[in-house]
Parts: sequence; structure tokens; C-alpha cells
Amino acid sequence: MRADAPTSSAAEASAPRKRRGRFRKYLPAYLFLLPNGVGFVAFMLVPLAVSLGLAFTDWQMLRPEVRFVGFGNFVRLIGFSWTEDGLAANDPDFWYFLFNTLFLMLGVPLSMFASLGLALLVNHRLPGITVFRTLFYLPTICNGIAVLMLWRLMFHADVGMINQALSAVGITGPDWLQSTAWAKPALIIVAVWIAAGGNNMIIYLAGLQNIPPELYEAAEIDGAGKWASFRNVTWPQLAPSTFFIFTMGIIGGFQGGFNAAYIMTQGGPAGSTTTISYYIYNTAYDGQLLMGYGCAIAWVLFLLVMAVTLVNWRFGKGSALGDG
Amino acid sequence: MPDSVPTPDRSRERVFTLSRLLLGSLVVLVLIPFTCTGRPTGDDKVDLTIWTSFDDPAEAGLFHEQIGRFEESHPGIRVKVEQVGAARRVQKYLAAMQADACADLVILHWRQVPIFAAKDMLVPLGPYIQRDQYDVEDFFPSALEAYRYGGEQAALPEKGSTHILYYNKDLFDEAGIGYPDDGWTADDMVEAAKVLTKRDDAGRVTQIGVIPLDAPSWVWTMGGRFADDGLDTLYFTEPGTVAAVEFLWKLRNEWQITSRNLNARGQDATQVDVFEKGGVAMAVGGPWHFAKYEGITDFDWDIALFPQGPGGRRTRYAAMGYGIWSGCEHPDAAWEVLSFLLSKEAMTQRRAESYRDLPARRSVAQGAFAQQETPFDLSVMLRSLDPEVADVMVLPKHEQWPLLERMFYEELDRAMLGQVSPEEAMQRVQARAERLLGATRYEPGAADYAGMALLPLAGLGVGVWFWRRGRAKTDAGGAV
Repeated sequence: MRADAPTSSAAEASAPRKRRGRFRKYLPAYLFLLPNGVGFVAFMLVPLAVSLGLAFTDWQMLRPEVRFVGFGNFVRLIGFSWTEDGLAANDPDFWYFLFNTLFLMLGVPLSMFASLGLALLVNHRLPGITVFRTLFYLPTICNGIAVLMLWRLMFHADVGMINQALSAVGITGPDWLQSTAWAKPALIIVAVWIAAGGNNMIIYLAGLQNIPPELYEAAEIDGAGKWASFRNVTWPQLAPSTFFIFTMGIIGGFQGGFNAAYIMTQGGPAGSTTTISYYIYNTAYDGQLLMGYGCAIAWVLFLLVMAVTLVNWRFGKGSALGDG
Repeated sequence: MPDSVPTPDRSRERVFTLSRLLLGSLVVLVLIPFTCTGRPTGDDKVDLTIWTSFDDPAEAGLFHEQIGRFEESHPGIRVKVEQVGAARRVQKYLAAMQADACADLVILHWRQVPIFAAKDMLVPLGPYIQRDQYDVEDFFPSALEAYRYGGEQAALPEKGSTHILYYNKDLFDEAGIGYPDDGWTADDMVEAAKVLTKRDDAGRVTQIGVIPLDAPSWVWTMGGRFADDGLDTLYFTEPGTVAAVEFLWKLRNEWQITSRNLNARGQDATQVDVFEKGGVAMAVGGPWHFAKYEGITDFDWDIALFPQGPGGRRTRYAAMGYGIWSGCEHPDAAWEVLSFLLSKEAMTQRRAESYRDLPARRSVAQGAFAQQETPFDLSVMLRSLDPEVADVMVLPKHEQWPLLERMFYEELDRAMLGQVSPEEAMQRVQARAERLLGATRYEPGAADYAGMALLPLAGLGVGVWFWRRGRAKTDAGGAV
């Protein structure tokens, strides 16, 4: 016991020295991280914390008074109450706009398949293939507003290019942006067009180029045709890419739809293209400027995104990464 | 042998030097704002800023010239003019006002007045008008009304307009129909549009009879109304309002004399201006269309008064004006600038060569403005604001009106698409609006306070769980 004492006190004395040494060692790294860290805290963490606090108030922008309302905003947003007609949502708009958001998210798998198709096409070593890769990527780097305005013109029921093309083959095109049935599909078409050749195509392309050629050779020796090769080699090998694209697509889908709705339809007709993000904007920046309520919607959206992502992660990760 | 010779770790030194440089830069960056603020300007002039926007470069030039003259005649005031885009103007103002960094004078669309005035963000101009005996009687009454809130003159108008009827003279001549005149009614417009609408063999409309544009103008013209300024009484279910919705529905669905792309606001949903392309015989619009239409060379066009209906000729007023931000440190000086810019002389100079918007002052509108040579009948524009010819209306000025208006358009959309009848649509608006306005304030109870107390604990618990899970995975070999 006694023999241990000097050793123990030496160890105690050397511990702060070690900590100092470690601090010195990592100081440059911390300093390099500092600008980004300061930006993150100032422009992300603090606003996030403030918005969480505001979600429990009835604060209206420009008004000095801030009243604590507890879970009032959340009750009003996702709660139900009994009315003369039975059980009714306190804020039916929220549920309708959530439905719109989910409907528009049908574009996520569609754009994934389109991206995969394009990646398969441009994965061939052909002369001039770089030109095609660039062309397919163009919508991503084009000005989003300009692209949406062009699509708006193309969807014109009477003089739009799409209906004129349909008319040439004897089909009467729908009132794309002025019909509750067709406005959402129109926005999905635009979203797929923009996303198909974008980053997702690049991720799939990288994934395709990482598949070992031996696997295809083995499949060929086993007598697999093109479809069997794709099904048994390409698709499973692309699972990590697919998982990543799908997860990011779902997150983006919940948060998205604002630009398209703002530019192409102003959320109409009859609110049929208003998404949750557009609803947040309208709530916080129009009329009464209900910032507290807007923050509550934003946090409910966050919880939704998080829940769906966790479910996706829990059940999708195993098949994608092969670790159960 | 080479291992035995210790080599100095230069890269490590470089990293340290870089990090010191980085730290130094950060300190400098943090200090910069302190060195910039509070610096004396070198004189005792009052500095004011105006946020404004211009229709064309010529107007911008005149504006700057006038500000220069103002500064000469008011040596104690210095004015800085900054342009703000029309898009997202409200968001810019909101952020600036909230951050206490707004301009002293701001250009305001009439729709923005209730938003800011309801939150005391605008200096009431009544006391200044009274003190200086400012000649507000010269302004069009509807223009003044549009900028009034809660009985106070919250801002003053600079220019404004109401709806008129554009028509393609060539298409009228071709069909042998007389041009629209002051006596035209909504029925006359419909009858003419029926003749002027052309279809192909498959029944598709190839030439549109009329684009009706403004739903509120039709509601008033058909004898309907919306609500009072306080939104205490709603009139969506009144017969006149329902009749207007029915009228718009018939234009699109029964008579099929308008664009299939017509949205609830009565305009093309894709905002394609088919009139400009010669494919529309009549289109309700405003003077803001002149900029586009004056370049038309393929056909002749002119303007007429908005047609009359059972409620008379009642059109919606729209305007731009100026207000003083309540956070302004020198409101008296700001009033000097505002009253100068909206004086008869200044307005005459700015609007004498621009017929795109009517001046808010009657004397200017009937004077220099009316003398201009235009490719259309300018007197129609003047008559459209004459109380003896038309009632120029203003939508309810209440901060909740934009929400009610959105509800109105959503239900109007449903009616136009045949999902509900016009009557049902207006009943739905009325019910939704009443529910919104009648919503009681939520009073937090014990559950709210308990929940709030538990929330940080729950957050902490989740954080600890994630941290322990991460640690466990790291210990197990860094699995994902």
C-alpha cells in the first residue's frame, strides 16, 4: 500500500500534464474547427433553440409581448376535438397539407429509378459519353426558379407545349396546374426531371463503377442473362447507394415542395399543392405573422422526419449494409 | 542509420503558425464591428434612409434628382436612397423591423399597411397632416382610404389604379361587334365573349373570349361584399357574393368563354399573358399591363371601363405609397422628406411622363398626367377612379384578412373546379373564417407546465442514451 503511494501521486501529478499535452496536441484541430463551430452555433444551434422555445409561445413577429402557451400550439396543430359534426381536427389544413407533402414524396422513388436508369445508361464507355453525363446533370445546376417558370409555361392547358404535343396525337391534355387531380402529378414530374440526372445519378454511377467485374463474370459463367445480372449483382451491390439516396430523399421530400409550389401554383388550386414547408411560410410570414405557431409546425415536421428516418434506418440499414 | 538522426517536425510548426494566424484573424474579425460602430459622421446632419423601388430607370433618375433638390433646400438632412425588390419585400421589412434596422421611410403596397400598422410599426401621419395643413383633400379618397388603418392615416399613397377592360380591336372588328363603352354591363361582356370565343373541330378553345381577372371586383359588382374592416361581420354567404362566384363558374364551365387555366383569382394559373399574344378578345387588367402591351404591333387594342353589374361598377383599388417606420429616430425629418416626395410638384414631375400608374393626387392625374400622348384612351383610366362613374373599393384592412382571403380563394377554386356548388363554397368560407376568428386563446394548465418541466429531462435522457449507445459501439469495435 505504502509502496504504491508514490506511484499513485506521480500518476495524479502527471494526469493534468497529460491533459495539457493532449489539449496542445489537438489545439490546432480545434482552432481550425472553430470558425465553422462558431457559425454552427450562431446560425444553427441558437436559432434552433430559440425556435423550440417559441413553439411554446403565441409570439407574433413584430409584437413585443410573448405569452407562454405550453403545448397549446401543438394541441391546435395535431389535436382533435368534438364538434357538432363529430370528431374534427383542430387544424384540418395541417392534415391536408401533410397529405399533399406525402403525395408529392411519391416523386422520391420515381426519381431514384430515373437516376438509376440514367446512371446505367451513362455507365458505358462510349465516345462522347461525358457530353451526355453533363447534359443529364444540367437541370441540377440550372437556376431553379427559371426552370420552374419554364415548366409552368409548358403545363399551360391551352397553349402549353405538353398539351399541344398530346393534342398532336389526339389526346386532350388535362388542366395541369388548375386541377386538384393533376397539379400534384405535374409537380412530381418536374421534381423527377430535376432530380433524375442530378446528384443521385452521380452517386449511382459511382456505385456502379465500384462493383467488381468478377461478380458479373461469375454471373455470366452461371448463365445469368442481363436482367438476372442486374437483379442479383447490380441491385444488391447498389444497396448502400440506394439506402443513402432514399433516406436523403425522404428527408428532402418532407422539407421540400416550397419552391415548386411558390413559383408554379402558389399552393393552389384549392390548396392542393400546399406542402408543410409552404404552410410554415404562410403561417409565419403572412397576415398575423404567427411565428410561435409556425415554429410549432416546424418542430412537428422535424419529429416526423426524424421518426421516418429512424424507421428507415432501423429496417433499411440491415439490407443495405449487410450487417443485420 | 537515418533513423538515428532526429529531424525537426516542420509540418507541426507550420500547423501551429497557421492556427495562430487563424486565431489572430478571428480576433480581428470580432473587433471590426466595434471599430465601425458609433463613429462620428463629421457633421451634425440628420441621416435618413428610404427603401423604395422604381418601375423604370427614368423614374429612378427623377427620384434621385428630387432627393438632391430636397437636400439642397434642407441642408440639415441627408437622404440615402436604397432600392428594394418587390418580391419578398414584406420579408425584408419584417426582418429589418424585428432587428431594429429598418429604413426610416419605406415604400408600401397597400396590402402591407395592416400588417405593419396593426403592430405599431408605422408612425401615424394624422398629427403631421394636421400640423402642416397638408393638402390631403387633393388625393383620391380611395387612395387615402387604402392607407388608413384603425381610423389613422398610417401612410400616404403615391400612385394607384383600379381595374379596366383591355380589348383587342382587331378581333372585335373581325366579329363585327361594337367596342365596349361606358354603358357596358357584365351581360354585354358575356354576350360579346360568346361570339368572340373560337373553338377547333374538337371543341377546344383556340381564341379566348374574356379573362375576368379580379374576383373581388366581380363580387362587389355583382352586389356582394366580404366583411367590415374589423372582421366583426362576414358577408360571404350573401346572395351577391354567391352570385359572383356563380358568374365566374359559368364563365369557365358553362359558357366556356375563358381560359381553362383560369384560377380563383380570375387570372391565368400559369401567368401566361395570352392577350399579349393576340389570343384573347378581352382581358380585365390594370395599368401595370401597359408596359407589356405598348410594345404590341400585331394588333390594335384599347381600354374600356370595367363592366357594370347588379351592384354597379365596383372595382378594387391597388396602390403604392410611403410610410415612416416607428423605429425612425427622426420622424419629423422623415415627414419632411415624405411630404416633399408626395407634394403636387414632385408628383407631377415624376408621373407626368409615366402613364403606368395613376398619380394618387387628383390634381396631378387630371393635369400633367392627362396631357400625355398614349396609344390608348387615357381618359378611361381617369374615369375609372371618378366616384360618379365607379365605386372604387378597398378590401378589409385587418391583419387576419390575408388568411380569410386565402380561404375565399381556396373555396372559390373548389367551386370553379365543380367540387362544390358556389353556395356551398361560400358557406365553407364563412364557417372556416368564423372558426378562425372565434378561436379562443389557449390557457396553459398544469399538464403544460409539467410537460415543460419533463421536456428537458426527456431530451437529456435521449442524449445520454445516444451517447451510451455510441460508446458501446465504439468499445465493440467501431461498428456503424
